Amino acid sequence: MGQIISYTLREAVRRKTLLVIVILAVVYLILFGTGLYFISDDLKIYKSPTPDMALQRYILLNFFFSFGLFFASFAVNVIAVFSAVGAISGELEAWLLQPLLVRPVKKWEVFLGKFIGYGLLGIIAAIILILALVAEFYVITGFIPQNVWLAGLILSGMPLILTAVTLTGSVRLSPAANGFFAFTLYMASLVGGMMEQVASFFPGQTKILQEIGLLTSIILPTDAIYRKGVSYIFSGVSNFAGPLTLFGSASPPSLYFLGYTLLYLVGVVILGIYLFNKREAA
Amino acid sequence: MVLESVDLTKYYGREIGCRNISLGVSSGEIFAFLGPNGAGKSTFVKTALGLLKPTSGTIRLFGKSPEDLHVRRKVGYLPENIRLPEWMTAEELLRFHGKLLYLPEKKLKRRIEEVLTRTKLWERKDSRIKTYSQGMRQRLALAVALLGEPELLFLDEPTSALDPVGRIEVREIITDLKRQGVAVFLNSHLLSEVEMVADSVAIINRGEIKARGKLAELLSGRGILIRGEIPEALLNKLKSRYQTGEAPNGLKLLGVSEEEVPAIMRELVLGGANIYEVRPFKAALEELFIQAVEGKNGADN
Repeated sequence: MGQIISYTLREAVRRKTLLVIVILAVVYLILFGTGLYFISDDLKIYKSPTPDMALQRYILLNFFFSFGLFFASFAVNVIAVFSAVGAISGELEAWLLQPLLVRPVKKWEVFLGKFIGYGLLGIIAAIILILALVAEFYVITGFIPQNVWLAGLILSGMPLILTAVTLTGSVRLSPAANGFFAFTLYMASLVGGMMEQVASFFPGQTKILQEIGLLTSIILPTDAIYRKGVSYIFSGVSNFAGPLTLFGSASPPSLYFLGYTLLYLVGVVILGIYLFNKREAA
Repeated sequence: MVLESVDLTKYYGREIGCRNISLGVSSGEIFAFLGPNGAGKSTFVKTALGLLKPTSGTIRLFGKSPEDLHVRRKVGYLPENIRLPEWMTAEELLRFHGKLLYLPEKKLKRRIEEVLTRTKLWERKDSRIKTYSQGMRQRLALAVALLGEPELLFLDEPTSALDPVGRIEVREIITDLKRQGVAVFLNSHLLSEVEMVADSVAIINRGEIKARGKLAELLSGRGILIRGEIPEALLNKLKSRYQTGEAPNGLKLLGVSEEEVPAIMRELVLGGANIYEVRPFKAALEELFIQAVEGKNGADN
């Protein structure tokens, strides 16, 4: 299995996937940094004339940071989907996987090796983007959000979910169909998560919006991980943030839900292995 | 038997891949599987390698399932559709396969040098595969198949992308392997090539075996070719006694020994036939192949 992991990672480096990730990160950071730079003067807490203004700016800084984090995690998840989109069916169609499958290696080892390889790639992409974002934010605003490392750690796990779902989808679906499948699921999860946040400032519709959010989180818990991660940054200020929590976490998922996410991840990987074992390799 | 299949049948949905294939390959034997494109040759090989699951029947390699990991260490495979990871070098690809085969480092290093030298790629071992020609890729795929010193080697159209020199080299590799006791299962539609190396052949068409046996026996269809004018009654008399075949301006008599020729000639001349030419002939694999594929010879030999 170690050989398959190493093969997957080396392929990402040699086929310039990692380079594309770095370029993507740079482009994103330039765009975000430019916008941030021009409003940064109005966000300086130490320049606030009153404690109320200081609090407002503190909340705004957290909002802008979570805004940056939201789109960084979006980029990471897109990377997770597109790097694994044709991992099984695409390689079988290209007749690249069969020479490996006639070797003394079990199909589950190939699947798990690819999952770990692509998963590591996603985690590396998340770490690069989050670290760069924190550094950029600090350089421009002089502000580091609270618990940012804990949030970063949790968010780095996000691509694992999408890698598992995309890899499992790639056992049965063609690369194009699988791309639509995984990306649609991800978008549903994002929209559901947004609706749940919106519910926090429309108290009358809270129940139905929260139920939609819960349902999409059960189907694909990526957004729930995001909300859990940023909840550590927003803790203590989210109640004051109101509509600004769209990229924050008005009602972070419980630790039980994190447990569900872990089971979900294991379940999807087991399903992928089961489907791969059933699938003929030609 | 290193390979034994009994009534192996594979359907793709309602489409037939191969049907009731029963055959065996012994250690050190070069077994050629012949058939036109789409006859079911590759389906059989893929099923034998465990890439496809049989619809019915059984296939055993070294007496075990093709999915047995110990069996897989003894098997090499050169696929028909060669696609290699273009971002790797030849040495990296072989090293990767060597690790999958659990070859110890020292042996792996030795084998990489041996197989790349044997396939004349040693000088290019550090070049990315994307810079290789189609023929070089086919030779590299052969090197990958040979890496683990297989006891059973599946070669699916091994010379399709090679020039004449490359084809001769592959033939030499196959005969060397035979000397080493390696069984080779050769899928091909290049009859002249098969005729030069194979011990046994099976001819498959539309998923079913149409003829099979030891090549020497199959090609022992010796006889005489008679060119001349033979009266109808005499012709029918000969046809009732011998297996006959058509020939331009004449007749082929199969299975005729040299000792029988004078008596047949006497009978023909006395019967009023005008004979212009009589010569011995030996059946060619091409003839056997066409007969089997076109259904003129449905029986197993």
